[in-house]
Amino acid sequence: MSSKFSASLRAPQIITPLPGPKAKRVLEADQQYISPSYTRSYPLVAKRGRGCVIEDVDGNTFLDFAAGIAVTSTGHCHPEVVAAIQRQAAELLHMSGTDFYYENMPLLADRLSRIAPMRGPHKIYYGNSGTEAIEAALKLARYHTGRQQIIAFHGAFHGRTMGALSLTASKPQQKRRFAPLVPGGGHERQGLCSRNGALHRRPALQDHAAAGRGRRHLC
Amino acid sequence: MLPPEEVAAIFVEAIQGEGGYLPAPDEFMQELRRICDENGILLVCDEVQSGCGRTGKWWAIEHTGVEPDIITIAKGIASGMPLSVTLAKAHVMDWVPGSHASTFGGNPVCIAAALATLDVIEREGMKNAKAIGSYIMDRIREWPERYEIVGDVRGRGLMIGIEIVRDQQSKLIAGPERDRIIHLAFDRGVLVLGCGPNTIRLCPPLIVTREEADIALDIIEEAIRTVQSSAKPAEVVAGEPMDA
Repeated sequence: MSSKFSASLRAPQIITPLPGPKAKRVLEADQQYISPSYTRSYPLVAKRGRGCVIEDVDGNTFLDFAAGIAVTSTGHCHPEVVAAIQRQAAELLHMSGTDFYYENMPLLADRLSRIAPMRGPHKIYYGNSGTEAIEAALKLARYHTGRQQIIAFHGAFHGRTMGALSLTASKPQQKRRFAPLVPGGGHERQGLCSRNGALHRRPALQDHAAAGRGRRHLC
Repeated sequence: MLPPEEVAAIFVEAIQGEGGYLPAPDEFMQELRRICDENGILLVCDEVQSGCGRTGKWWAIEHTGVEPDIITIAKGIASGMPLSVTLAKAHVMDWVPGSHASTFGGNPVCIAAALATLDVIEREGMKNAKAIGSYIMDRIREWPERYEIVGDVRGRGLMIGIEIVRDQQSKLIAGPERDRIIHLAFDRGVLVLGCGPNTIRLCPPLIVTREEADIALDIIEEAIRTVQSSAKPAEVVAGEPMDA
């Protein structure tokens, strides 16, 4: 198998200092207008993508092992995906699945139901982002059970909206100055229940996993 | 401690994503299932990052043999178009009209992208994720022995974490070193992100080729070598101990 459509772009090819001159202008404009809350690790200004290749505004090409945070599963601009988007965009952009019906809402649901990791039948709620999927699951769990409390785990990331943030515990800055969060959420440690009473110290991540292999349980 | 009869759900990632690409052990997931079953608690598996074929199966929880009650799906499902899914056992999703809704949710363009995406993943992406994932793991498996600053490599399919430590003995978290490696890779034309305090994550598109994997790994390995050779001796650096 090969990503044929990435053949048009060869990577990596770095032809300017990074960031390049055009990228620098974008970074300046970004600094002027864009929320400083984003977490950019390095100054990549993406222009176009094919397969596993990203080209920046200065013509540098990169091999993409980040995939827009594990998003571009089929590669950048896969021709089948682009064609499906173009077809649908020319037909109908929006009518709202809240008040009306779309033919393809149950179509995708059927597809997902067939590959779901638990026995069916299933029902599906559609949102726009991971954090919304978590919000929906949180509300549904309370609604269905009539119970209030939710358990999540240290190190977890479930999203940044208030409900999902209440379940998130991977970095302090994600929560700093946002309390009070949604009450009823508690965090348990995965696999670190009996490490000699020394839980106030940060565990080794690999030990965390290794300890878990032997004895990870709710504490 | 919570009274179990007041607990609605346990939320868990079968592989912690932002936390450091940490797979939960099978027994841990099985134990969660048991606790949920005994106490009428819903098991919610967050598959936002780990789902849609990335681990070589449709869902990361499938590796553990555990069936959840609800899964959450987003990121990889529509190749970049914004779409998410909360998929539940039908009897669980029993809420009434008006209890939850979304103006944009299930947008037809996003669903069209998702249907095409699932076609591609089913046809080639998932198989390739497994094959190239194994190939990458085979190449990096010995890095912890070969490089003093590689503490651990782990993952499933194309969800792979390389953990960076100050040295093999102390296992001190080496966040700045991890960040330098990521920057050096960028300078050489490879895009990777960090996760957790000291892990490099590899999560390329599922259609990545072996040749692309080799180029990326050569550059990442070179960056690790460079950072290792310029690292300060562990004894003069105050770091946070990783082990308790």
